[in-house]
Amino acid sequence: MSAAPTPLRRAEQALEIPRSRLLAALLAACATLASAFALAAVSAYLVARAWTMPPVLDLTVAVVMVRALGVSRGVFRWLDRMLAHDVALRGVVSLRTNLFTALASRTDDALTRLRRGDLLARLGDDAQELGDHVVKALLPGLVAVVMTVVVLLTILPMSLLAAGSMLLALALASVLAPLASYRSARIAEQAVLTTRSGVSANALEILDDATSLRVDGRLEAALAEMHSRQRDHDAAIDRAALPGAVASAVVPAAMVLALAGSLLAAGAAWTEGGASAGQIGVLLLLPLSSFEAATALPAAAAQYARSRAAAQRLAELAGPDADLHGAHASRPSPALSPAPVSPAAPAAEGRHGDRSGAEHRSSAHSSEASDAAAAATGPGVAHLRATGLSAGWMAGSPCVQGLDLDLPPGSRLAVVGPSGSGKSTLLATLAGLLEPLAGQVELEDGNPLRSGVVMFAEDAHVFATTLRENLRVVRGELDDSTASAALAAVGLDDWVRTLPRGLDTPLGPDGTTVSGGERRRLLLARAVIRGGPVLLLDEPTEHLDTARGDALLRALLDPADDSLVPASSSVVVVTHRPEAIPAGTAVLHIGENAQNARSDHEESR
Amino acid sequence: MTLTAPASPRAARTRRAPVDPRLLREVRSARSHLVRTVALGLVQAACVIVTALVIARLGAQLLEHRQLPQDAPALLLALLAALAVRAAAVLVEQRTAHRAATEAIGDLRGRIVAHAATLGPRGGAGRGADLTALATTGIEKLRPYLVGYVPQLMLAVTVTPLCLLTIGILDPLSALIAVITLPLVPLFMILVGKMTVGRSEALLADMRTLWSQLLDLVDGLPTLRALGRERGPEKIVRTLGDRHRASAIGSLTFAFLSSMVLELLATLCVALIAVSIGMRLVYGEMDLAPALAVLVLAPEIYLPLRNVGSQYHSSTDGLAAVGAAFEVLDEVPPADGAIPAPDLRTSHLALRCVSVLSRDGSAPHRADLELRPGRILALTGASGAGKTTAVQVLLGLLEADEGRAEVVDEHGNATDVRELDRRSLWDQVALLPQRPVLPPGTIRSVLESARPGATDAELEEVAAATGLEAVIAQRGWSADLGRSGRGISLGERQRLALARALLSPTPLVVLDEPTAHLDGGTEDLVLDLLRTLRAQGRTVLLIAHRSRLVDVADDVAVVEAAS
Repeated sequence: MSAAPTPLRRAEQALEIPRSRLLAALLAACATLASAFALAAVSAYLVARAWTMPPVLDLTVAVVMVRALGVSRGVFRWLDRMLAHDVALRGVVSLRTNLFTALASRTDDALTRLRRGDLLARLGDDAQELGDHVVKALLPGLVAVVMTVVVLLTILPMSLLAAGSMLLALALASVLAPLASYRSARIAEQAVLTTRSGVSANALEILDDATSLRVDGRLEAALAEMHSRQRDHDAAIDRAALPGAVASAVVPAAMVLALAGSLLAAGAAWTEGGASAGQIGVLLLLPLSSFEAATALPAAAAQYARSRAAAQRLAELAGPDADLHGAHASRPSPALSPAPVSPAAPAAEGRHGDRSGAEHRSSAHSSEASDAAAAATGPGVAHLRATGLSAGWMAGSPCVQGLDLDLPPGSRLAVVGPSGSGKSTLLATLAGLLEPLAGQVELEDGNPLRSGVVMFAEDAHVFATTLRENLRVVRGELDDSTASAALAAVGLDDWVRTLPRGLDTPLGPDGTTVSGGERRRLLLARAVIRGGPVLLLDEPTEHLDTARGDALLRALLDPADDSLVPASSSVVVVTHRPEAIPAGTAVLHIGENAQNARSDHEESR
Repeated sequence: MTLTAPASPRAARTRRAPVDPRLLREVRSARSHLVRTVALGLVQAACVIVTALVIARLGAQLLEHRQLPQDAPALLLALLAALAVRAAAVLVEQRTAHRAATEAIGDLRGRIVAHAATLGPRGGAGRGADLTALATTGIEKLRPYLVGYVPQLMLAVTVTPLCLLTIGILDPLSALIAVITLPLVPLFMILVGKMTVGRSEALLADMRTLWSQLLDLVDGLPTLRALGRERGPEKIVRTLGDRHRASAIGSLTFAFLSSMVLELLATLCVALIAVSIGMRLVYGEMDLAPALAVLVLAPEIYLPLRNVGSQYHSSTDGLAAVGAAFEVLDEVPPADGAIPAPDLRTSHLALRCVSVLSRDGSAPHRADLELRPGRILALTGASGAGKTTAVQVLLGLLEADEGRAEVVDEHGNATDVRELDRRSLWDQVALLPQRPVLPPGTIRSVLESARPGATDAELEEVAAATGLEAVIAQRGWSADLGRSGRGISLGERQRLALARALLSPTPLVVLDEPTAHLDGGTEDLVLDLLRTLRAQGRTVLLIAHRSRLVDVADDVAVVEAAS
């Protein structure tokens, strides 16, 4: 049985870097350092040989080489950096795509349980960190190995003693310095995770709540607490400074050893007459130029520490046995027929080219997505049933327990209860986004839950694209009349008329240019367009004025009203406006501390 | 790779001094750090020069007189000592640089947070996420700047000129070659910069856009999954990623051109010097010792410059952080007044035709209100009409752009709120924002801090009135609430905050939408509380949406926005 690959190894594989590209980048990097090394060697040879006053012609080769090497380093350097960054950036794109695919195809509820900022941090910063891993750790490490061999092979023919002391010095610089640097990076990282997050939390609280703190007269106390946490953090981070400083001092210290060995060797070689003046020049001066590759190793080790931590986090995100390597190619989604590209998408592609248009991205996030899935079940019928259901985030503390629910096609159910009682949690569980703690939820026809049940969360994402694309998220081929009808049904037609470019008006990042009420209705319009057998809506009328909100709530819950949803669809609505629930609607009460949800279905209002 | 999250274009465009004078003036640790790195730079320069001279001497003696290095122990020791001292100088410099960075970061963070807190709601709101990013992670950018960039910069101003000077003494011709090539570095850098400035800025803007689109898509993945639409967008993730990569490579092509110029000139200069020395040695126009010394010193002229170049990003990021920090620190907070506030049990607060400019107009626009002692005033108005802002003006937290807030004492003397000693005003106010902020501690200590010396009976009565018994029964009086009450739910936190308001002796209680996000039961509780507060003779200012809250008020004031 072979050992499972480490998270870093798995992440490296997910970068899908072709060997040939990596090799090209490595060769360019080695050529850069070898140019500098050769320049030092040849110019030392040239000067020492010139001192013996040979015929000038004897020096021609050396002179030409020195001049060529004077130019080549800069050129190789540019090539090296371009190739390395190209490899890394390509790798990051593959890694991110593989991660996205792995996440999207996770069948468990890990994605639902993820905190919002974490997803961005993983696919943004951590993926980037692994790109840095290639440029700053992987390549410099390989280059150092190659250059150690080059240096030793250059010195060995001239003197065994010089080569031996150089080997020792290089080993010292290539092992001790990176180790110290790695240790420093780990300490610093730990401090960032523990003590700095405390300081940051304090700072955020003070900045967020400055007004209350000032009026309450508690600002000074809060600042004092932040200062004391800052001191804790300072002490923790200070422990990283010494190994870090040692790492940078090891290379100049190792030079002492290399130079001493090389001076003694040069003395012996010259007096014994076994070497030419040129060789003596090389032996004398080369130790000063042999450590360039090793100088990069402490930084590489620090990056290695960061890469390992990032890879660990990515592994947790992707799941223990996710196939990150080529996941997107090898696992076509079962529900996805050959991607229907909507008519708007190609036009949008063209607009990406120019920079001004790039902001108003038009390609639908899911215009190519599983329309087939929606079409397969259509606005059809489905019978949703929950038996003995317990829902919650932690095994020990369910919000809802022992719930039996039977929703034949066309049902309407209102869920009410105090804030924090688990209404949204129940909805996510019914939608198959959160695994039940006990019991089960199923569609009577035996289809997978998520094929028929769609949840419209209150914190759903409004994409930083046009209004049209934000609606197309739920249905790829969406014509203007359907879109307008849905917007009118939720009462957004007036708002759309005020928008400068109507349906093509870009909305800010995560709907920041949209007010709370508009946002809710936009999300509701998505539900109207999506349709489907079972719709779960979380607080669709919050942030609306009472009259308008209550009217929408009634339209959703009245089976006879098909202005928003067809009569055959089942609808579950979470609300905290019990007074607006139309008479005759089934109401599910979820209690604050109650360990059981009263599912008094028959209660009529 | 640093280019993937580029700084703002403004930061890239403005030219800054490599060391911000405000940093040196205001932050002691940064100042002493600079002095120390200059001193250690001089030590390192001396070591480099001694090393070169001694190697050259030993080499020349060996080749010319067959004198073994071990036969000149003083020189050999001097050489090894110079190298050892150099290593020690690096050690000390890095060790102290880290400590200086730690101190400077802590110092600036503390000052930013303390200063921003006193700038009032607008000082914070104007910057919002920028300010919090600066205070948490942004200011940490000072570390690579102070630890990486500044020492290399100081080596560039110590080692480079001193090595050049030594070469000049040993061999003026070599010094001339270096002096001619050195100015080519900034010259070519500027040329490359000028050539690429338009293109690379466009590429950077493109990268930023593509990057934010990518993150937006990633951010929406849970939503797509809830909608059953999570399959397919991975193609867009790849397409956006590929386009981002293309832009990044495009801009890197230019960025790396300038580093190529630097490397090229550095090695070319060494090569030219080597050939020139070699040619003069052949014709016996030069001695071996100075020739070897110059050859060792030539690369050292350029080394600090190359290192400064490779730390370019640390410098721009660090300077941007320093700039942002002083932008906050240089903002002058609204001045506190000196007049003690009159007793709010007998005086009343009022807004007179107050307007505050907002992003698109003014909110509130010409607001008037009178807050009479012992009465409940409901402040209503549409979302965004400026209700909270009006309260902030009334409490002297924010200055109105038009009109004024004043306090009128029992004799009818009006004083502008801005002239009041704010502490004396705020000591008479209990403020309950929508998201209440509790002091750290247990349920008991949190309540007791509102009325020191409260008896158990009083505490229990208040707990019952605010519906806290359930929490207390479950967790007990001495349950730790965690930081700012984060250990309990928002509803429970709100109840605790109400209990604190009830216990506190302040004549004025300000409640900002006390029933938002609460169910009907809590709304009844708040209504009862309002009546209790009024019965205690206290004044209540209520920001209210819901009609049931407005119904309980004695007076109603409406604010409106204008565009």
